Amino acid sequence: MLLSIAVRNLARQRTRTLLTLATIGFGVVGLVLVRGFVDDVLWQLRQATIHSQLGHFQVFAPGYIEGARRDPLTHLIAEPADAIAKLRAIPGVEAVARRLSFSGSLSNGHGQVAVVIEGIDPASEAQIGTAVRIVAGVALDRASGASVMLGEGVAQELGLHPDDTVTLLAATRDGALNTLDATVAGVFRSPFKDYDAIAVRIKLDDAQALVGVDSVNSLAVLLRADTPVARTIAAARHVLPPNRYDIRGWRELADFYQGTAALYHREFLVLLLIVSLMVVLSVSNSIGMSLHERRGEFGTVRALGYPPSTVFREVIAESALLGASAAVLGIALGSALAMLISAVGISMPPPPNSEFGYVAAIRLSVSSVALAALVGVAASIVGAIQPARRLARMPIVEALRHAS
Amino acid sequence: MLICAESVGKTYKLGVQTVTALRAVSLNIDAGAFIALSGPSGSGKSTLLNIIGLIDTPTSGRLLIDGHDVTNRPPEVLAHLRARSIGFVFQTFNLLPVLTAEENVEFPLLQFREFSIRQRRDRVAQLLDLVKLSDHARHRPNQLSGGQRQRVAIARALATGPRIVLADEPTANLDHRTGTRILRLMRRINRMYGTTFIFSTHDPRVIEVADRRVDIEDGAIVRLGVRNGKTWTYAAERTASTPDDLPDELPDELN
Repeated sequence: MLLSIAVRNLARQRTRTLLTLATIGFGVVGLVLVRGFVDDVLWQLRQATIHSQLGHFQVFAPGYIEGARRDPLTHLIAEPADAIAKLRAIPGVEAVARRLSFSGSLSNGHGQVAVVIEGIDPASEAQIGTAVRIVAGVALDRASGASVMLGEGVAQELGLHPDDTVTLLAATRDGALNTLDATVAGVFRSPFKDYDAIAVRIKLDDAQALVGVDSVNSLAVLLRADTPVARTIAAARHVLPPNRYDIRGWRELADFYQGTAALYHREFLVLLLIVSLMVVLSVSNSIGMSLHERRGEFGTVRALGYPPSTVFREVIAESALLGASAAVLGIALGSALAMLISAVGISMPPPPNSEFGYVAAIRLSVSSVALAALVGVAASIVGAIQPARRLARMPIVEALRHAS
Repeated sequence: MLICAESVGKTYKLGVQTVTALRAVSLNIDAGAFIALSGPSGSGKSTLLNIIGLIDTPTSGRLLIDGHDVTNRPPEVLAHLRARSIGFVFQTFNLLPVLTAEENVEFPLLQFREFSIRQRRDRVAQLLDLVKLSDHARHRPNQLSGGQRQRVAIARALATGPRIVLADEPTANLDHRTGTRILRLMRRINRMYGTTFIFSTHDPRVIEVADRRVDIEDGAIVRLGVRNGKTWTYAAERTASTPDDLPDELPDELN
């Protein structure tokens, strides 16, 4: 009957209950939408990161990550063919791309810029790099002879266009300088402007010839959709012993993503706190007013033999019920709005370090909806604690003075 | 002795002033008594009633119920004692507005796990029949007259089979005729079940129904009266005792 009393009391003060429901409900709607928006932004950034440079994980020789900047050619993967075969045998692996990256310079006879030269498998790279657009010319696999793809920033820096001739200069593994004359096959644009400003891509054979090695310094692995990344990385670590291979997930390698995600999560946390505080204050005020008017009733309940703890529980149950009802309504409304907004789309300008604008949506997930509901209910309970304690501690005689 | 108040005093702060509501009141009440605490407003009769009902605490003296000292017990213990031993009838009825008449009567029984739903329903039906409100069982308080509400309140006070029922000005909000009916009902229950009734009033017509009267003025007992036919015999001793013809124990059907 106590639950029934709680329901009837909420129904009895209809206007106040509706106002409190609306406050909590809109708080929940806000959390569903903002969290869904943040999740979508981060999901799109994740996809861009994975499908432009990193793949889902990469394999290196031990020590490469720590020493790559100083000397990328020192730590090469010993037997890449064997590692590729083992990786391809893991369920869910879609593509494995070999890469040889090192620093060098690019000149066209009029100017010279420092670049990062990436030797790639054009076919495998095309599978991984679906977020990389060719904005001029053609892809490397359609070009013949020694060819080079330029990041858009590099091309702009030297005023280069497809079919222009350039010279790449790099130090070999032994320390000698070597050059490669190549034709510009095309210009690419990835989601990351910083990368496009320094990157040039050439075929892996040309890169190996330029620096005098026959191996690679990384293998980028792309997984099929819905393949669990962590589990696949664990499987890869199982087949590729750690004394010979260092395997890193995309998240570890994506500094920009991590920084962005941390920023968004911090912002969301602030919003979460604001909404929680708003709900706590609203519920506290509403419950406080309601209890103030019903002091006499609770005095009667206490006089009839119910202990203070029962009064406290009754108030908390009433507030929790209010919070739960508001959470259900908020989730229903929030989900409907999320679907509506997602159907229309939110046109977003290019984020920092990018040339691409994109269309954002509201990404609903069980965890985000559950979090919003939890905040609604928890804040409602927290908001009721102080009024409930005050009421439970009120002397019975004083409470009964307000009975009518 | 069912109730024994020994030099019970009550003071409270009102701003910077200390107000004395009761001055060392001593009073003994036997089981089955039907006693009126009378006096003008502010005399301290409601304070004494509240202390006996364990909803207020004395600042001095002690209170014994059934020989057990209940002074300064923790709120949870007092709540347990109230639930088991004491029923309340209030001047303003104090029914819970969201509950029907039968739910109001059932409400105190919800504290007792030993009652099954069936037992609770049977008991509620029995009590509503006793106060002649079986036809109004599903009515909410706002659908009942003042007299009907007070009868529901009496049924609620009896729900747990208490040995003591305290009524604070039970007829003050009722017209004379309805008030008389309510008093007769309480008197009938007192005689049928031996339930001790203690009520506060300043209405001389209500006092006339009582067996004993305790006159209080300025926080002190000034007179103890025992009914002697249509007149009162005032005793020097500050004890009200039980008429011999009333039973000490509750009949089985309410235990």
